[in-house]
Amino acid sequence: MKKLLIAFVAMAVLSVSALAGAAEIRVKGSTTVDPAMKKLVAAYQGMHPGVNFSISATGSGDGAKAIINKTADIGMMSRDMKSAEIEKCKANGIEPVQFVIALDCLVPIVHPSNPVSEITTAQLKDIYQDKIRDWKDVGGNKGMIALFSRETNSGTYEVWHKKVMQKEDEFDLVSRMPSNAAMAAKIAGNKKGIGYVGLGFLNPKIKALTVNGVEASVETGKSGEYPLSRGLNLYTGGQPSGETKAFIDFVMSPAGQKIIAEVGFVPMQ
Amino acid sequence: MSEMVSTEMTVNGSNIPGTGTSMLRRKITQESWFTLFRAAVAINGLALFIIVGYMVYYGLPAISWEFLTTQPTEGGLAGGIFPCIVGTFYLSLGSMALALPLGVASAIYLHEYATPGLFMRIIRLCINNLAGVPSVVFGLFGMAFFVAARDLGGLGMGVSVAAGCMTLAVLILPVIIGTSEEALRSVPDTYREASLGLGATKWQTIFKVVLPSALPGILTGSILSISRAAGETAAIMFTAAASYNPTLPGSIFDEVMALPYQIYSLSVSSTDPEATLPLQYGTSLVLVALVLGMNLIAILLRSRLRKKLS
Amino acid sequence: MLSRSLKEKVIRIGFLACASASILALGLIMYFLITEALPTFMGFDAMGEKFSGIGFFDFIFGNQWKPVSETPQWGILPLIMGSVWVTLISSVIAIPLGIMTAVYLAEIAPNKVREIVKPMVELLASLPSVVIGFFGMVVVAPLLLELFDIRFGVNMLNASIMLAFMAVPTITSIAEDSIHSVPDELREGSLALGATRFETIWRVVLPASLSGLSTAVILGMSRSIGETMVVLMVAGGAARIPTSIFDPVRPMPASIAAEMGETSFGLEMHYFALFAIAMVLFIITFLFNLLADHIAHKYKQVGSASL
Repeated sequence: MKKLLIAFVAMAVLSVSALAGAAEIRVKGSTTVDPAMKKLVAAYQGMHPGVNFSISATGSGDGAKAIINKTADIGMMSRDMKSAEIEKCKANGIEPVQFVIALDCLVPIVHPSNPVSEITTAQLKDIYQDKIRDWKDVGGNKGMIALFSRETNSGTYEVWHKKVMQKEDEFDLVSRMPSNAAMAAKIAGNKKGIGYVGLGFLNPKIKALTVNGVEASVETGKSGEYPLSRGLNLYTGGQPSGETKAFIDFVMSPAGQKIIAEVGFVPMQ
Repeated sequence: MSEMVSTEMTVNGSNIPGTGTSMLRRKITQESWFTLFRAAVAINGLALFIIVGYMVYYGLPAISWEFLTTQPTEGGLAGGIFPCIVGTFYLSLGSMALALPLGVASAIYLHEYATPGLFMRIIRLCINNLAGVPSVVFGLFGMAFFVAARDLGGLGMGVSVAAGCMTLAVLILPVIIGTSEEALRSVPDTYREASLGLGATKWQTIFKVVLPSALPGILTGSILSISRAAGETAAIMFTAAASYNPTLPGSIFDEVMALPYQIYSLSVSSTDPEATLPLQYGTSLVLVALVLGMNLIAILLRSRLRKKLS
Repeated sequence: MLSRSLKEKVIRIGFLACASASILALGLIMYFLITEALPTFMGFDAMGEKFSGIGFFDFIFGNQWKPVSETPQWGILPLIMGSVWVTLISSVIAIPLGIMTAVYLAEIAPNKVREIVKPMVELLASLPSVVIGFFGMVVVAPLLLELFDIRFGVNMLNASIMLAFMAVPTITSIAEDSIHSVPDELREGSLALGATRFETIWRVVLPASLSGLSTAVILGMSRSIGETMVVLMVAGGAARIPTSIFDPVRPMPASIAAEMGETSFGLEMHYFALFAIAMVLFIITFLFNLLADHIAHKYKQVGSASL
């Protein structure tokens, strides 16, 4: 028992010393940007094996918080920094620098068995305010609509709140999901549900609805035809330098933007 | 109350026990209630069995040597959970190392030195309340005190192993005090009297006689508290955990991955909760095996101890 | 000899200092909760902008929790009611289960069975909450959707069931201790008067251990109300006073854990309000513990004489 313990400690210590000591880039923030970030990091590490990353995706607010408190080198945000956050950065002697790395479309989703396939922003607003309660009122089978939305302080919700809800409040009988992925999983398992995710989270287990007759895609997002699009941002404290700069340059490069398109977001270039 | 009980008893007693249908009815009542009691136990057992069974059934296929010893790849969508195991290892052992001396010393004071009184009552009240504080409150406290650097007096460690260990240490302190006290209580007073009678001082008695005999009990307590710290999620969410940090921490001021947070993060906020379901079950199984294993060891240790004492 | 007694004194003070660590820890927790929660009510300055606080009663009894809105509303009554309902329903399940298990263990079980069941209950207690939450999410939620014609699988009932199995071990172990400490002469007396074993348990043993049982129930409920991961993962997250057991709810710990990650540190009302919720939660569990402590002390069972 004792020997086993000692062996384990030794192993842990050894592995630490073997892996420590390389440059590290700390990334924090939005769950929307997260999957793209992880793919980008994996590709980047393939080319620069010495660089280590730590990614923590808890929300756009955390991205801003991390830049303000200098606990991260890169903050991921699916919304723009609020003026209060920029002020706080400046108060801490930090000049936040914004990089818009992609566009995203917010896509309303339902269970694949749901016959409804198109919806308007006005209907969405009514559904989320409990004015439309039954699927049959929007062309589906009879049955109550189960509302799923995001945590009210996520960047995704903020865009939804602004563009769909027109800054009005949602009905309160709505199940709030902590991330895009949780939303997609929840709708995939709920025949009565409606929710919304970023373009990168669409999968065969959920069905995307067209909004005002426009299908969400890279093309319609880029052309501005699709009504529910937004920018995805990376923030740094001051102009990036060293490894952080090299990484952001990679993200903005054609190779990086290709990865962003693969994840399902709309590349900037 | 004694009045009530005794009158009830006379009523029952006047029923002339052991004769006729009334006795039969009473026996039937008893048996049906006992069956209900047994059913309650069965439900508990079933719950444990089903939960652990699910984790084993779905988790086992995901587990391999590679799974346990390699880093996650593709941003956590595939690969192993080695950094999580190491992170949990650091957090639980670190917090134990901080809390054990403090907890044992507290227990020694409470059991060997303190005399009953207001102060003792206050300390006990504080320990009981500390044990009852919700883990998310510990998380916020850790965030405000250890993690943040602000004018309020935060220590400014950042989200790190150090901050996580300290938060968890406060969380497991009451567990350690409780079990250590129980261990001290099980040391017979005759040991102390003999030692004191031989001219040893109180400190010598405690250090040379009481502590060595209480050691196995204290060990049991520390195993229990390690398992408690290893399974804790809410307290490390804002103080220590990162959802993806495949490199092991280079210093105690780095963030770590940890098993419980990994389960939460994969199942709730990872890119694809469906595709990573095997990973989630696998990680859950590792955590459950770790925690239940440690508890089982502690339970066996304790039962052997009790047998030895009696 | 003098130096020896001096040394003893120093050691004693050292131990006393260590024992005071718990007081210090609890004090620090209260200090940070209060200082971070106060701006909610007193108002605060952030970047030269003045924010005014909200009244304590508006905070507790306001029935709209809308932290991110054009007109933010900071009433936590829906969150409190979420916690209260989840705790009550889980208690309805956990109290009978826990106490019946305790009675079985203390009064009925043969030694061999007890040696298996007791560790089993302890193992149930040690299951990490995140694993129970995970189980509720991936197994129970789809099952509920399948069984009932309902809209949400993660709902109040689901969370309550999961919480119940976390509270049962707490209730069982404390209740068993107190049943165990009922002196044997009471049982013998009752049996000698012709009562059956069940009648003895029901009319003698349980009334005699009532104070211990209440402590068990209170601490079990206190555990449910403060449990975080389970309600974060399976309660559904709708900030709304529930009208049905299948409604999604948002108990206080879930709200704190879900929202803290997205607030700006020490910059906005939301951050301080979450600390204020934590303070309310802390006060509730604190009161529960005080009550349990009070009952345990006041009605302490000291042998048969106290009955």
